Amino acid sequence: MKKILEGISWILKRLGDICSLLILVIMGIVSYEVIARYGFNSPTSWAWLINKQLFGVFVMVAGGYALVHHAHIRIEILYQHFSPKIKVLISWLTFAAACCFLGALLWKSTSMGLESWESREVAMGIFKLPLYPLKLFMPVGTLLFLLGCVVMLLKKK
Amino acid sequence: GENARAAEKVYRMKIQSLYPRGDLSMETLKIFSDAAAKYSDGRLKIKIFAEPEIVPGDQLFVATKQGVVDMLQGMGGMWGGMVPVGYVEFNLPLAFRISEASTFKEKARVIRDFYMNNGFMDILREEYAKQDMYLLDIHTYGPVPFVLSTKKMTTCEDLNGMKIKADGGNMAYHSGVGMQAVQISPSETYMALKLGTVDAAEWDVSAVTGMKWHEVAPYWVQGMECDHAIGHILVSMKKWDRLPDDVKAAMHKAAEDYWVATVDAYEKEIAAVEKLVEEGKVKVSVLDQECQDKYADVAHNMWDEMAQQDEASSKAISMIKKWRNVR
Amino acid sequence: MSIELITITLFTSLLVMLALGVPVTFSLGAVTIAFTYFLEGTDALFTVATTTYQQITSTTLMTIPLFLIMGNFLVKSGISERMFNGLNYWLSGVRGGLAIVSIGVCVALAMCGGFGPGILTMGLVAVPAMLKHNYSKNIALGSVMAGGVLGEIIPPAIIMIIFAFIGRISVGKLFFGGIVPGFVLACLYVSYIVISGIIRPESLPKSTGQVTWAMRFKALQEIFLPSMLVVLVLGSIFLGVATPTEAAGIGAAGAMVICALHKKLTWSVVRDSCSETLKITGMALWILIPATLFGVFYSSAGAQDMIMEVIESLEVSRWIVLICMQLILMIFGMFMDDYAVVTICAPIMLPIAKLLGFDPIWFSILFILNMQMAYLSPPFGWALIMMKGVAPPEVTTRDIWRSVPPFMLLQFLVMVAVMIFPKMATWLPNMVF
Ligand code: NA
Ligand code: NA
Repeated sequence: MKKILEGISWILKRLGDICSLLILVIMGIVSYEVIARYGFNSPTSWAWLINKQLFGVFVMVAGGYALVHHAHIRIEILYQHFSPKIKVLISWLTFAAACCFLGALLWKSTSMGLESWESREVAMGIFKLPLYPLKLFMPVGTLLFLLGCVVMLLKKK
Repeated sequence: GENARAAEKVYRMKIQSLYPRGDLSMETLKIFSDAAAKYSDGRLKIKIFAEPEIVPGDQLFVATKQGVVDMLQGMGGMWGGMVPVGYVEFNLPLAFRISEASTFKEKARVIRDFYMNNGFMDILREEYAKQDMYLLDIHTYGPVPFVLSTKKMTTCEDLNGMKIKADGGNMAYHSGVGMQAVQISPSETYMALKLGTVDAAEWDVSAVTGMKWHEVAPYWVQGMECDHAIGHILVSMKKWDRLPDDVKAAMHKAAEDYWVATVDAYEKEIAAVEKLVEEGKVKVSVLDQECQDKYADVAHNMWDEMAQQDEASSKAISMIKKWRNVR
Repeated sequence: MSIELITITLFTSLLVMLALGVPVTFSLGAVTIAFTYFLEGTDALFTVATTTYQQITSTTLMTIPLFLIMGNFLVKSGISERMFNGLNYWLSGVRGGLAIVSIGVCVALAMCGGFGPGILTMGLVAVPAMLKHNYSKNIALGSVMAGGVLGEIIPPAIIMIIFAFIGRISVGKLFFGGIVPGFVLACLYVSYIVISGIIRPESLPKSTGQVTWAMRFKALQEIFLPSMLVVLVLGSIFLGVATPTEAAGIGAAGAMVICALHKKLTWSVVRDSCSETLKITGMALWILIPATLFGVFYSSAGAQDMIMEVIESLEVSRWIVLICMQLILMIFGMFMDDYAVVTICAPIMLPIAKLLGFDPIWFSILFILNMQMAYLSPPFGWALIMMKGVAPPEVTTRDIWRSVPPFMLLQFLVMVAVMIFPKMATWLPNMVF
């Protein structure tokens, strides 16, 4: 059990470490677009499209990553005065709330992803970038985020 | 018994527009909703929402399919990634440029007749039905692309190398005559025109009446636009099938009123721009024949390319070619 | 359930969840999902997927990690610390000098977009420096947050573009309308810092050691390159090279180049900067997603009809109506993201204001000034949340909340001033256009 928990934490952290570098790719693409347009008068048709997909992956991974690094913010004005017992109760409440939110997202983003996959959705316009990979990744990222919540709950107990 | 109950039942439906409050659609959709209530003797209650009150615009299609709202008001170009013929339906370059009629209303009439009386609508309906959507009716957005520029442009030489903010298929259209198409969000366009990040931008007439781009880009470049770009109302097939026939008929009738309302509304918008032209705040800049011909060549190449998309597009485009007497 | 009852139960449940210390993202998410499910059914839950997809592919929000990576490069490489030490040499005679500089930088960054750039970069870079030089937390945190939200009133700002479209007024006029109130606010913040320094010198200590001119000039090279970043970002916008969104990317690339020029671009600096950026982006975006969803539910439940009824029921002078609208905005601002408040309220309030004969530009500026307070007003204040995300760990929520009242009071005063003297908002636009 403990091994599984550590395994999930490890996956979330490593995946995050790798995906965090995406921001450098996004930065590079933005700079390229600006230079290509201003310097060489040849703007791209793909820069923002690709960047949006990369940003999507970045954010989906970021949820779980922030979680295992305790970066999600709570208002601790009352919380810090609670006894450890109550804090455990709150961590269960937090878990229930996370399940409610992320569970709904997992369910609905799965149907969104499948729908996009079925129609092989592509971006409108001249650069027909497939949009389904990100939409299929959404439930995956959500699931990882949710598993992270399980890890955090069981660690707390 | 059963029938009486069905006759009493009130159908409450939600429609969301692809456009935010402040757009004309919020005024005209009220006419649609009121007409639907009137023709159905109060049994059809349609509540109107603007973008992004329930779903963001690019997600409206899939959200309607999923039942978040019951119908949407938008345009086919937006869902072209899923229903390719939508590009043809919305604004195939130069396809809906009607030289044989002169007034805004007459041109609208010619286009509506083409959609409704030749089986063109059936091709579209069939495609949307594959996505579980019912194509209720069409409406107009007036001339598209509505191009404003910071400099006077009358020849393709003037256009060459100019940066234009353009969307979707129109990026290829303007690139074809030597412009550089740039993707910029509409909300950043005013500043981009002001600071010279781009030299021109395209939208519909609300570029002037809504977003006031003419304050920073006063030249209204004409000669490459369709007289009417066509939008539509789509109803989730699941919800449509549940309606009794008389309510369906009421909705169809209301949608026709909606068409008339949009034609009137956009005619007024154009009149407002004409007034700005008289005041000298907007300056008309018509492209010369040579450049217009160049645009036409690019457009017709795009038609052929788009015909390759799928069978429906191919059928739709050959129908348009016959109608417009192109090759 | 009536919309009035929904409003009360919705806001109360959110308040309880937040007060109990459930993370903000899950509080917002769970409350919204529960209400959507019970009042609108399972089909409506699909909005959670559409809203999430929209947020994670939004080019406006992409500027958040871009500004974060820019700040983080400077912080993780140690460049910002040395820059602020150098600045402190130059400002050794001025009490609160670093806070004043922070406001100045925030004003500059305000010209490249919304409130994000100021709070994100200055929160990362300037707050730790001020705390290290023993500035009081109240001044250090408050000045950066208040300075950061100037981004919404000093043009350009997305919020103004939304208003312009809804009200069919000129964006240019609105942009110019924000300039005077924005700079008045900035001056008041600076005055407040100077006066605090005089009244309570211990809250803004002068630097102690002996500072020579030789040290100052030596420090110039530490200051020079990082300050060129502001020039780079603003210059790329105002020379028409890049849009404000793109300028964020240019700034980030610039920060990386500066690290390289200082020979600090090591793998560990890159790795730590990226990792920190991912964490804070995760925190911020995963609050923004349910916050937007909260607004979606509330407007589809009929929030606008309710506001309409409240306002129409007031058969009193138009000034009372105006004040009531501002009160509604302040209350909403405590619970909702500003974007949600604008989406719900602006489309109904702006036409009413026009109908009552108020100048739409003036009304929009008032609305935006009100939203500035919303960023700072607990329990749900964007600036508060972002600051908690970027500030050093020893800064608590309590510290952050305690730092806002003086600045909110100044914002309130300026709002009242604009209300009494509409010329503050309308003079400049009418002169220019
Ligand atoms: Na700004
Ligand atoms: Na607030």
